[in-house]
Amino acid sequence: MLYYKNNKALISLLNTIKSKVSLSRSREELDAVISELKSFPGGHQFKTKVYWAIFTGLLLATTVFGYWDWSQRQYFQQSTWIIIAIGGLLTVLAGITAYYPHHLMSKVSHALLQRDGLLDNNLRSVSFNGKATAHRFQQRFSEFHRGNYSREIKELFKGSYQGEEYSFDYHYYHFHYVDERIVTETYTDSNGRVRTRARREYDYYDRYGLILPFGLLRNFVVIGFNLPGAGKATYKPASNRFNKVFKVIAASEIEAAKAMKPTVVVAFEELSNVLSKINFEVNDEADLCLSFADKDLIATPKKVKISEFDAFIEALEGEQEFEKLRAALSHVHYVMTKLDSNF
Amino acid sequence: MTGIWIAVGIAVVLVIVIIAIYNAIINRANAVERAWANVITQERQKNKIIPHLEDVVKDYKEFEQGTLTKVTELRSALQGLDSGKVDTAKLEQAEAKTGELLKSLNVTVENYPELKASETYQKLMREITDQQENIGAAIRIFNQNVEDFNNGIEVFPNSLVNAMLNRKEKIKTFSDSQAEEGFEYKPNI
Repeated sequence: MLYYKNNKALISLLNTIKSKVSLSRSREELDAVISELKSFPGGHQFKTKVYWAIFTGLLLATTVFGYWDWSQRQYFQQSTWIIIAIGGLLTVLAGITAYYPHHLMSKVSHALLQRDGLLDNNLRSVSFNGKATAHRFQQRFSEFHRGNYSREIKELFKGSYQGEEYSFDYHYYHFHYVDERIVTETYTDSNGRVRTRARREYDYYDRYGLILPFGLLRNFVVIGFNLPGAGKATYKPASNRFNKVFKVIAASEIEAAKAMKPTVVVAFEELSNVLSKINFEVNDEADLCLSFADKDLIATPKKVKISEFDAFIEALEGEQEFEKLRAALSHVHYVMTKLDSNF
Repeated sequence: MTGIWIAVGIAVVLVIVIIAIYNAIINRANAVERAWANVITQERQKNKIIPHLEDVVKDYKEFEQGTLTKVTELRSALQGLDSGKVDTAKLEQAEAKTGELLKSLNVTVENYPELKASETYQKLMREITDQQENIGAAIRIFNQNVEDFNNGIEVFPNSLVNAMLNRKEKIKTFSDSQAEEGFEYKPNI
């Protein structure tokens, strides 16, 4: 009975949608969820003015009462403490009651748009074991030789790219790793003696990337961000701008020079304007791992909420484009076409 | 005594700064030369394509007449290029001759549908397009390096060091819209 009838029904609908969205894997399943949202008979906006008014009233009353009581005696009696505690508790409860529906609305709106964006861009979630997958990737690419404490794949999606000349399947991943370090600090003990002690500290990092069969090169790396185990550059192209950001490591200087044609060099320069801390690693099986620090490659660009119902439905019905993902994939495709043009 | 040490310290720092600026100017000048050599290398790749082009059009007499003149002009323009000396005027000439040859090819081939449709011709045109893209990209790299070099000799205090020691002159960037059009990769969003 905490909420009005429409608010209550809307909260229930949003909770149902939230769980269905997380389980939806296909366009049909998502369309069924959207139909359920469309067929909701009530309004799609919460009426929370009364809750905010109660919250403001309680906050004001508790503050004014506390101030008035303090000005009388310059201290709080036990009974005053009890009243302030009850007032504070009711204020917090009123605040949560007023805030929760909007929080739920934002969360569900984002989840729906995100799932729609993934489907628009032909990305499907893959079931995987985070630590085992990180271990498997570690055996294939130096990029995953990070984190002396733990390594884990947090997200894994499978997609496909249709280029003018090449089509390929790829995996998008989110890699999380933790570094542990021992920090020695000095402190003064209870007897006033200066002592030292060691403490473990943890640094948390995230990297993202694409893995796909590349096929045109082997053991070739363009490094824009520290790559564990990488040696000295084997080749430096003529571009100052490229050399400021990247270094190239290949089996031989000739092989590197052959691959790093001017068009490929400039393509990497352009990619560094779109993505940050890039590594382009082709392993001995000719598979590519294009990794970077950007976390927004598959994030929905839409910010609209269900409460703006027409705009929200319009956003869902339109095509969402993950522009950074497109730029990364078109870069890979472009490099493929340039490396393959040996007439 | 302290004053002398401070003066010596300042002089040492000053010398280090001057050496660093001097070396940076030299490095940037070398980078321009390297980028230029790269442009010329890409331009000279056309010498490898020209014989294939002659082979393809040799059976088409009318075609051969016009094209051969353009080919000869392009060959002569390519010979004029020197990888050791930055000369954007000669590069411009070679690019103009390439443009004329391609234009002539495109116009004349319309009269020979079987030639236009042949796999050899298509392959050759793809090769020429790829080559032009590489030249466009090499020119872009050259222009970027020239910009770095020019900034490196014009900003203060580099301008003072350059005037006293390096005595390098500002280099002109290469501007040719046709060559730049050859390179169309623009993934910026």
